[in-house]
Amino acid sequence: MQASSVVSYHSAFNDESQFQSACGFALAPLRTKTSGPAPKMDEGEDIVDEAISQFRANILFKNYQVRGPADKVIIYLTVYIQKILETIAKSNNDQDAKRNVLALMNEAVPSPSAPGFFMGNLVLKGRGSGEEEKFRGYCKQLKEECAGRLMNILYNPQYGTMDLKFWLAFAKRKFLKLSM
Amino acid sequence: MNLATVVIDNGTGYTKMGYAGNMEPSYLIPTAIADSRQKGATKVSNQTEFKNPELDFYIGDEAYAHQKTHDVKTIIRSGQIEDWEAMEKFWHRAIYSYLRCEPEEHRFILTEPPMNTPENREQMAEIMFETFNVKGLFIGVQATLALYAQLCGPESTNKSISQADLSGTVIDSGDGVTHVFPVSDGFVIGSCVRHIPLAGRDITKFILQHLRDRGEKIPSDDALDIAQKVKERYGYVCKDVVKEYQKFDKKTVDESGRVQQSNKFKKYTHKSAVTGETTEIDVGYERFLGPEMFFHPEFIHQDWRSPLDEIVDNAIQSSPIDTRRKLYENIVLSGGSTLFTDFDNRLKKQIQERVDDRFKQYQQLTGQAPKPINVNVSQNMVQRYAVWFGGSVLGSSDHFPKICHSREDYMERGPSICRHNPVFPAGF
Repeated sequence: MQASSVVSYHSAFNDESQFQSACGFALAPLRTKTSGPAPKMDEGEDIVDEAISQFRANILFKNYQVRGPADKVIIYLTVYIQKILETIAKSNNDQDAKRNVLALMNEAVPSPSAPGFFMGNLVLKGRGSGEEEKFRGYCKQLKEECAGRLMNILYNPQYGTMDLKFWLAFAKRKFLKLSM
Repeated sequence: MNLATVVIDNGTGYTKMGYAGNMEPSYLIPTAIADSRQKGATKVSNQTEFKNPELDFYIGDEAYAHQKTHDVKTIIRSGQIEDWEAMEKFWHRAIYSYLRCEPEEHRFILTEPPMNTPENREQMAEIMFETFNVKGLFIGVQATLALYAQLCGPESTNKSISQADLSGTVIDSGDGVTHVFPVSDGFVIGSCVRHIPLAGRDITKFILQHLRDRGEKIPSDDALDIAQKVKERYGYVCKDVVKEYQKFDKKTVDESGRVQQSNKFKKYTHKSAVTGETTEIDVGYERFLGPEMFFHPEFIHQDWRSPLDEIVDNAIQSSPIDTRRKLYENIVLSGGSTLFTDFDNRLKKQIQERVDDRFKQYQQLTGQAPKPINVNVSQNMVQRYAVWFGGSVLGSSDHFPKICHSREDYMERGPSICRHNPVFPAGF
């Protein structure tokens, strides 16, 4: 059939030839000061920005078509964002929430080939331990950047927690039934 | 003396009734009836105004007001009348207590959903002629009446109309179910009708769920009522979901230097009828997420994936090839759930994209370029009760007595005369 008008939102970085990939995830550039395997990017919208701005739309979809390796990163980030919101919703106050999210961020990324990794068939086995290390390093960077930017939106130094409760409405929904 | 025709449009959610010649129905009440409980509740002597237990029932809003003492139920499901006894009681109360007219002196117009069985029409005719002894009866198909309203209503500039002008696609979205009816030359193309199990009630439930997820304080008695008011007052259709979120995220700085939220966020104050206390709630993303369900049914429904524009396109593509142009160029909206701001623009844009896509493919394959189709989705001022309005226009037209079945005819030939109800008389 021709173009369907029901489109979930996808990443602009999906072109396979442009970026390296590790275990099925595209190593798309990040605008970050953290160190790791991600290529650097000075300005513009990076994949974390995409995931955050598309989160409130994508979370409502029950199907998601993976158009490329960058979309797998989007899925990872979307589930992660939902986990952050869930953590905040369960915390008793702002201090608690910030502490718990920090703890979540520092949790080690499990190995993709270990059974029980929440993305299941979407991640490929690493072709050697080097690739797995890159994958975990990249995921660590993703988590740090994403948590940082999201907390800035929810607990903004300028306007406080104005947006917080509107985001928390999505805390209970699971994206594609996946959870970390 | 020729008294005005009575027009009653019984829908799944609401019943619209009034007299022909008016712009609006006089009464708009839920299609519900509250029967006295059968469970042998002992009636104390300081009873209601109805001494006779058979007359102890309420309809419409009063039915819901009495839900603690009576069994409330809806009479119509998906457009079809489920309980004929309840329907008869409903009509009885409607004619004698609401409209307060003598049925012997008036002609009546009732409505039926398309694909209604002839036996149902005969049943309607039997009840109307035998129980109420009406002067005349016409049973109109809802989709055809909606088109008739657009064709012959006060907004139209058509001087001369014929059966062939009664062509177009009617999208009727009410409270219970949404239908797409392609109509050609006054007849609904039965095999191309499409039903979508999503409508106003589903949007209301989604909005309520979203408000609850956000932790808004909503009194449970009035929950659905609040959600419905929020939907009707603040709902609209956006152009793109992510862009709309960004509009909500924009912050402005006011004169005192404080950062304000986007003015897309609203507040709604609700005063409870029972306890009298007021609750104020914030209204946010559900404003556009609710109506978005027409274009992304996944948001609400487990299995239903096809958006409305795809269904309309399929319905028209499955119609006979010579009718398609007229069906695209005259898409008429009817029913309360099509009232959202920009619903027509969004629908038109999406259907036009599909049509243009197909044309491009056709051009590539054959090298010919047929005349382009301009999809036209029209709104009109009486959309909420377009069907009722069509009945009103029809009932006050000059040729109506010719097409209405009279009591004398019924007495002579029986209920089978009501199987056929032409909108235009033969030889028009």
